[in-house]
Amino acid sequence: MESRKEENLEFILQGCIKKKEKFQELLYKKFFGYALSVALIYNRQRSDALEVVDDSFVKVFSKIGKYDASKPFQGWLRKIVINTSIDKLRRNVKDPLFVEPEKFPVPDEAPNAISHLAVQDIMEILNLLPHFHKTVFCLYEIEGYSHDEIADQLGIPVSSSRVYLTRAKKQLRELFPVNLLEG
Amino acid sequence: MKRKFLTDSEISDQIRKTLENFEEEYVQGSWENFQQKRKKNDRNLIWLIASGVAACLMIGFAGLSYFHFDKKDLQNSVVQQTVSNAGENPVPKNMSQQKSSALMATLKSESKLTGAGKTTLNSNASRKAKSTDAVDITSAENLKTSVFTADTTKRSSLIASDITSQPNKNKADTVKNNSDTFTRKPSKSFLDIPSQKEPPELASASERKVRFGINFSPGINSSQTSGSLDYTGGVSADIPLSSKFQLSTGLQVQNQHVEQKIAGIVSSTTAPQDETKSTLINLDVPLNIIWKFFSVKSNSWYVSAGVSSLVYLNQQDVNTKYSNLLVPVSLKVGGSDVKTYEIVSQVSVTQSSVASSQTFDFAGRINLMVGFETKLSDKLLLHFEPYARIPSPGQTSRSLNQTTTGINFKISF
Repeated sequence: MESRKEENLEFILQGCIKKKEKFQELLYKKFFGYALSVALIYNRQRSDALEVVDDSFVKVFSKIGKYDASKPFQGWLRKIVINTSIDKLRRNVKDPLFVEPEKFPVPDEAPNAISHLAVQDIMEILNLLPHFHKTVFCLYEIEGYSHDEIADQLGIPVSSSRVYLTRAKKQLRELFPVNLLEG
Repeated sequence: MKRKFLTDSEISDQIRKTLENFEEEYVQGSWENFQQKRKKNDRNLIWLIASGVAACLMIGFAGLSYFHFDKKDLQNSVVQQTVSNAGENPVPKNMSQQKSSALMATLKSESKLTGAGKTTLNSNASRKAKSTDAVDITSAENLKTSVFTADTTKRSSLIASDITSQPNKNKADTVKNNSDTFTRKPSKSFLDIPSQKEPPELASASERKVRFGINFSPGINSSQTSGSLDYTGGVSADIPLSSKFQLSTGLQVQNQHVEQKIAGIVSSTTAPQDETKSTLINLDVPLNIIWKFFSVKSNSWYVSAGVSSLVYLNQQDVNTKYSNLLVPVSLKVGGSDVKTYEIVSQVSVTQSSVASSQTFDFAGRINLMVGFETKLSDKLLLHFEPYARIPSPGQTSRSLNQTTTGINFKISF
């Protein structure tokens, strides 16, 4: 079943290399959800995430010839989505309408236990972090990037990357809803 | 009881685990939107390439006409210099002696045909040819005036121009060649014929000056989600490059209203979309090339293309956020308290402003314009210029990510 799926993906990718729209549509629909879930981690607004997904697929379709078929396609797509999100973040910093949250809301006495934290809750907590802090945290903790790589990607000094990570973790400690009380 | 905080690694693990299996579902219509966007991007790319090519062509034409003008101007001055030398020396040694001989031969042969004395020769060829130059030549030998209307070939017209380009201070220009002397009346000489008049380029050169103007242009900012009014006003300077090309620059103050609706992470049907209303005042420094492609009497039509660079002077944002809250409500039903929840909509409005000159967008916009100008008086020109200001591709500033269209009214002097 799995191998058939892989074959199917390979077939779709071959069609995409030939720039056939039908196969592009298949690939887009197949990986849209995955790409959007990655984009939502790095973009505060859903509309921005959707834009990033579209931009990423434009890159995918134009550079599909460079894709190394020996590696998983999802990994390649994930990297493209992350890079596109970072590009967008770097451009948005120049945007006069780009506003970072100034204050962190006091966390509620959370009704949910940590073990029941939904994706939505995690997203909301992450979105309370300043954009750069959140991005550095996600790149380091989720993607496993080194500080050197993060600094290179974001165009910031390595020391800033370390500072942002420390601050992000500190803020997350304060923001995380805690239901575990010691007696 | 003591509150226990999670450790960093616990938090990271929690986040990683939660997000690991998270995958959104396909949103219906996304592929169609994607296709539409891709087509739009392709169109923009074609526009960009086309406007780039057009701009290059315009610059090329402008450069060509500029250098062409310079060359003509140089040639003319050389000819004038030569002739003025000839005027000082009636028998020029170096001055087209062969040409003069050729003209003499022609005249002699025609004189033989028509006989000496006051004779007018009208060659058939001269009647036919539109570019015929009228030549009045008086035979000094007989001290009588012989008027020849000769069909001037390129060669003879060159000679003629050599002869007739002599300074006007002489009432009659004379060219002596051995025993023959040709005298012409300056009033009906080559100097009076169109080809010998100051060339249009020279004429325009004498009129060349920078035209200043003041303008006002109402417009409409349009994006995919909204449309709003835009006002621009300022001063402009049009620098002539050639008779048909101008470089236009200036300083414009623009008042923009930008409205943006922002969809939240979770699309909600009950709460309206968050929105940001911004009032931006920015300085706009345009750099456009104008091509006057058609001129009749005192009216001209032209097209213009170029880029604008912007500096923000003031920006005020009003962010409106809508959210739904679940509020616990206690009700007494049958004597006992029943706790229910109801959805309450909450609106929060925040205002912020951004200090001036924080951002500079170089070539942030592409300007396209079609224009019509008409003379109000000798010095005043009135311009009507429908325009479109399109954000440069790659420009992501939300404030600039809008196409502005409108009409520019300008008076130049």
